[in-house]
Amino acid sequence: MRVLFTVSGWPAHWFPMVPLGWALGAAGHEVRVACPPAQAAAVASTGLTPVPILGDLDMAFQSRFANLWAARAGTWPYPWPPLHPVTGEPADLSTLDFEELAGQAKRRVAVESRRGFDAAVGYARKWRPNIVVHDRLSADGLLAALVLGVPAVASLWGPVGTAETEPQLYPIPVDYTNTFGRYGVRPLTPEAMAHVLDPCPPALAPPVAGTRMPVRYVPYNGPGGAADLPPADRPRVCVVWSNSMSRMYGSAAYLVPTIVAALSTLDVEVVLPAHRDDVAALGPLPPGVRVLDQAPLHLLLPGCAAVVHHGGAGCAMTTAVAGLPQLMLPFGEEQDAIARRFAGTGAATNLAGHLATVDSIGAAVRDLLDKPAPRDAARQIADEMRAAPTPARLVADLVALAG
Amino acid sequence: MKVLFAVSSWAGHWFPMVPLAWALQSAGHEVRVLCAPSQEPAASAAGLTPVPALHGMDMVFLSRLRYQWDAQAGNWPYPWLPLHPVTGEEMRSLDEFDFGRYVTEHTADTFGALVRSFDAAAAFTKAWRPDLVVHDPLSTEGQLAAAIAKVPAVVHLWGLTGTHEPPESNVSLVPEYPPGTFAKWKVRDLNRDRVTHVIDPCPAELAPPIGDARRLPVRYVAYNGPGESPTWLLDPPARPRVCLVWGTSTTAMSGPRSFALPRIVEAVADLDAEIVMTATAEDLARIGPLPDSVRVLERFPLNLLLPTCSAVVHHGGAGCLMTALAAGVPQVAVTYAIEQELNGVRVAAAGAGAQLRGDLADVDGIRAAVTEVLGKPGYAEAADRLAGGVAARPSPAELAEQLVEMAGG
Repeated sequence: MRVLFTVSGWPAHWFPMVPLGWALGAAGHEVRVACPPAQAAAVASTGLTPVPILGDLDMAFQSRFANLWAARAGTWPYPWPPLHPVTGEPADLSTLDFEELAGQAKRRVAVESRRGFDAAVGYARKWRPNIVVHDRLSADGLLAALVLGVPAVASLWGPVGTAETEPQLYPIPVDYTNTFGRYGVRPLTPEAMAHVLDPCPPALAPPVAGTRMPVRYVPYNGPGGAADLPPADRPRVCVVWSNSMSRMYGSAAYLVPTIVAALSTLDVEVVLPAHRDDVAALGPLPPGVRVLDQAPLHLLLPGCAAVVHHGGAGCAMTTAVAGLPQLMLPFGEEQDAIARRFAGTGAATNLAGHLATVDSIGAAVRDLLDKPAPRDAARQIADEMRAAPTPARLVADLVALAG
Repeated sequence: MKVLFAVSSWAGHWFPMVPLAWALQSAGHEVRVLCAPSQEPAASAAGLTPVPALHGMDMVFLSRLRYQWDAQAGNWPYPWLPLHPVTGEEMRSLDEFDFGRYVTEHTADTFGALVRSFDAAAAFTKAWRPDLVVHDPLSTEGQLAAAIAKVPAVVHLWGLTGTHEPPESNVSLVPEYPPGTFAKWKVRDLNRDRVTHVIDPCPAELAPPIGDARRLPVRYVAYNGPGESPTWLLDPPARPRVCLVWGTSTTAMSGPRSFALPRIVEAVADLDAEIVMTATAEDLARIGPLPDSVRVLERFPLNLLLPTCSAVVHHGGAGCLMTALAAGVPQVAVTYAIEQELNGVRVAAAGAGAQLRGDLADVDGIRAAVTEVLGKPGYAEAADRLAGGVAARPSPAELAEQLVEMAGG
């Protein structure tokens, strides 16, 4: 059969779909990945076939604008100003032309999302997919499936669902341009996402409005090989920090120096995968810190005892399926929710990024390493995740769904 | 389970293994691709995890060396001399390359590189402990890794050429080494007689010879490297579409006189067909100005293009040939090397195309072959039949389950 994937503008949103794409290809089905042009290279480097036709919402602009909006409404949680959506510099709220930026944001969403919707429908009408798989922020695929009358399956990338009730979460896109109405299909609501692929362990299953299809989380974290690490004689702690934290929330959201300082007070070895430029900016590092070139996280985790990161879904899920305890220092509402929910299982500790200190980080990691409870909880979660059907197993379900 | 793929230094040799690696990864198994550094980008670009530890020999150089050997043994069929193995320049006399002296001077470092490569394979195998090894016929490192780990080794063919071609074909894929070569790793001699399992992606009626090994049939799922799918591919062509594609290294291996693309373009330019050509930037520059009727695509994944085509003209390379077989497209192979000739002859014998020896094929001959393949329905029917034979085989996903079972998982 023919399977159309549609994906949104962050690789982390669609990386969890990649092993399903491989599984379908290996079972002899045809897969095309409709994506924003900016994602085409990343899609191609998974071995899947990009079709770069979707709209480009400019995720950095939209995220920063949402932060600005929060600051105006008084819900920006950090003691520093949000970033200017265009320049990425700290914004001066007193002189900023908010109405002008709001207009820009609205126009961009109107033009780009409509372009993506129309392109997805146009492509699907010609290519005639038997089924569509889309990440939960790429409603392009859902619309195409509804127009064609074929099933659509929404893919989650972590423990945030399609039917969230927490007001600060942004579970699915809003159809500002009424494109779903223009095509005469049901409105874009959580219920419209009637099948949801959920890679989370049962304890974390996030709210969805349709049929939940559990799938094992098979990590794909971008191209690259494994670093050749010698065995450690002390517990090894992996520190991962996304550059986008600084780009979305400001330079104060770059916590690596604080984390490294905290870990240097413990008897641990630190592995820190990072871009060379970022490492240079760190200055001299304490002994026991091993800096690596960027490498796919799942390849670094064998041999590690714990992971410290910013609460990104890819880090959290990859660490979870590896059965390791984790400390999350989140910035941003989705990362907050991921950290809070994982902490609820006992397999993770959640410290708000802007409040974390050398002392609190050090104490949290020491507990993760020394106390059996987090480790046991992490192992149990990993066992539950590995009990879910693999992407390879899911192919038969998709074939059945497509009829 | 952990599955080690060991591959030789030619992407076309291991691209056919990519869907099997996807199948294993998506079933939750761990896969590593043990390769030379030259193959690291291609392994990464297929979404796989490279281990670039091997010291692979340069395949272009090895081919030229082989041609020199053939020519000195009187087995060189072309009316020109092979290229100088080292410089790649045209030679006026075979004496310009002293084979004996080259061997004397370079045996130590060539053998040294081989030993380093085998050492690297052994070290990785001991550290990672694979449960199963899949390797292409040229990758002795794969055979060695499996022998060291005491796990099954499975050879994955890349096309119509088998591990046990008859001596008169002058084609032997599995390398031979002097007795005792592997004693250092406590492994007995490795050669084609040690091959026990062969994954065969060819339709049953073209089954390549594999000796006494057990044949594991698999469907050929074409992966030809990364690339986007443009939307125009969805519109059916107004006239029959004919694809021209040429080996990316044919000129470097077989010399400038083997560059048949200009002749092929001239042969098909005036046919009542839409001509689409995919080639490297170097080859495009070499051809010069093209007729307006030829649409040029630089480095385009053939598996996306061929299902829209009525015929394809290529150099007999396994990737082109197998992709055309799977897509059910009649093909014309204009060949300049023994393996390619063998491949083309086999397809022609099955009725799905024609094979022309490059040095003998002129513009009229190529045009006649393409016209016939396009015009006589028998070719398309045979191509359909062979594509049916490909489709009838177990998918890489099904093969993966079989292999996991075999390896005790």
